[in-house]
Amino acid sequence: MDILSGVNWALIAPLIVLQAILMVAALASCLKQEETNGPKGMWILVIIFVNIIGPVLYFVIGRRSA
Amino acid sequence: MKNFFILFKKEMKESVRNGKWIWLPIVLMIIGVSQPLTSYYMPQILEAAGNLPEGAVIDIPTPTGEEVLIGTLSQYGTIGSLLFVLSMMGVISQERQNGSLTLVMVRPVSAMQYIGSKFLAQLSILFSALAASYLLTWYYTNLLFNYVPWQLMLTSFLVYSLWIVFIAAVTIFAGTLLRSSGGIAGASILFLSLISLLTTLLPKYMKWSPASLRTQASTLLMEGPWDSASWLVVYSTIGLSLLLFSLAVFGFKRFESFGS
Amino acid sequence: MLVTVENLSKHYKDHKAVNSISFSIEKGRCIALLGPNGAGKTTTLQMLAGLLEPTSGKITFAGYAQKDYRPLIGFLPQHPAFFNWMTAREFLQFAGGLSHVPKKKLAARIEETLSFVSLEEVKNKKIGSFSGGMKQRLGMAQALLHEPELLILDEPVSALDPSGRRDVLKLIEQLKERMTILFSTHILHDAEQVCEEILMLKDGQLKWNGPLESLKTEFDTLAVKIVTEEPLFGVLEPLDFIGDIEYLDNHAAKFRMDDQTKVNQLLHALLKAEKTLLHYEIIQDSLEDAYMKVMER
Repeated sequence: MDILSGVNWALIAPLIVLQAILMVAALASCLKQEETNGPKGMWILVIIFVNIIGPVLYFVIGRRSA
Repeated sequence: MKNFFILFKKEMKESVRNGKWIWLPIVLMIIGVSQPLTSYYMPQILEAAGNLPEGAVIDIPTPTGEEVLIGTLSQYGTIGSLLFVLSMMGVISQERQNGSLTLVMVRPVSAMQYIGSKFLAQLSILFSALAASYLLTWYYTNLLFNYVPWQLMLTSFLVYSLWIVFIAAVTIFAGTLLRSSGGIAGASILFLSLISLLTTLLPKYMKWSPASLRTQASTLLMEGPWDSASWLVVYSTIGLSLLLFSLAVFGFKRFESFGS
Repeated sequence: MLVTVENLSKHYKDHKAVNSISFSIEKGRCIALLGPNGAGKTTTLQMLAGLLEPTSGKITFAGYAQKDYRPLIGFLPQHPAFFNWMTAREFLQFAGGLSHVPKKKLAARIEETLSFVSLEEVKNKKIGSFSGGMKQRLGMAQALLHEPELLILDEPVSALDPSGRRDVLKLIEQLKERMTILFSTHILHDAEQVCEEILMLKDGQLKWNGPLESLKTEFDTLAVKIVTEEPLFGVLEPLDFIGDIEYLDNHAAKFRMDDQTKVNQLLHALLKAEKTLLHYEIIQDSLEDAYMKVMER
């Protein structure tokens, strides 16, 4: 706990906000997409639980933008 | 010229709709900002890791702002380059494979207009993403370490941007040679890694290499003004990018068929 | 004459997809490019549309000096693919812009063509959600948006269900009055419905071209069918004006007779052989038969 109290949250907050935006954007896109490259449920889990890399993977290979 | 703008606008719109305009800047900003933050909190991080011998004194010299920015550039150089290639790998191959290219090329569109619109549109997305990320990182660096003059920040950014131009040219060129997105990404990454590796191993012979742009940007941050070798890299990168671009236009013209 | 095609060829490494074909298209005609699958129809149309570089040969548009004649062409590929993230309207805006339709005119043309292909109601829907038939009609819309001189349609109806087929054929029927149309199909019936002229292609070679009517007359050799009381073998063979004898059973035969005035000689021969004639019929060739004959030549 000592360690956490030494952290200035005002500095970290923008980073967390950015990650949240990324995740929400990926989720919104995934839900709106009619078909994804692979099961949609899997992508939703990947986006939520794999930090940063999950949403990026979704945008790069998960979207089926035929 | 008019067709170039129409195609360029279409690329932009597409990148908004498919989310590239969101994810690329955000991911780059996260990568950039993480650098000053982890440097700043390094002592705590090491302490939390906890596998230090009892009584060991952690003594890490606090880096300067310039060093932090150099670290950021190095992040861009690895993860960043990978992301750039991934974000561009499908821009030509996808349209070619699903056949939508047919309905474009059946109209009076030249290879130059088509490839040019792809190249410049993708480049402007990468450039904006990189600029947003670097600016935010600079802000954090100034806050947590020492103030880095904005002129230094800007020039190092511009020099580094040339590396982005080179990546875009390589990926677009690969896109006219190969059919699958995976192959395009693989070939581009392989080529870029190879040239980076050679540049590190044989610095003497690779002064012209675009991969040394990062070193140049770092030198700029640490030591200020340039020598003539720096200009050599700038010119050679611009020249090589133009060459790859022309080859891409030429390669595109030689597609056997614009039908599927 | 609108288009002249001279010795057009497309060779790939292992085969000749199109082998030195020549023809011309007159302005205002509707022409069907007919042939079985793999005959080289798509290859021919893609070369005409400027999508595929011919190995050799020349394509010239009358009174058009520029090498790039793509502004004169509207093309509908066999499986049109669009940018699925665009709406129908956005796509036509994009396509019309690329074809240099003046801005003011374009807005009107988009509405016009959308209503022509009955896509008005879905014009602001994403193309990704369209059915096959809707995509085909949007493909049609983009092909005629800029009012091209020559409309090239590659198998416009083969992928459609019967009602979609009828709709598209009706559209072609209406367009005939406004522009020159060249469309490919492997179904003779479709060609017969809307076109008056045909080009027949097989194995990359032009087998026949001309008006449908003359195909019928040119290859229409009269066939005769007779049935007799007694077994028929042996009577017909010696007659020199009879050919291609095909026995349907012991008593019935079908054969070709070049000259109808020889009927009496035939009857005479039958009488002499003491056969009783029960049935005499002249069989008219269908267009289908004529088509098969040309293709098998």
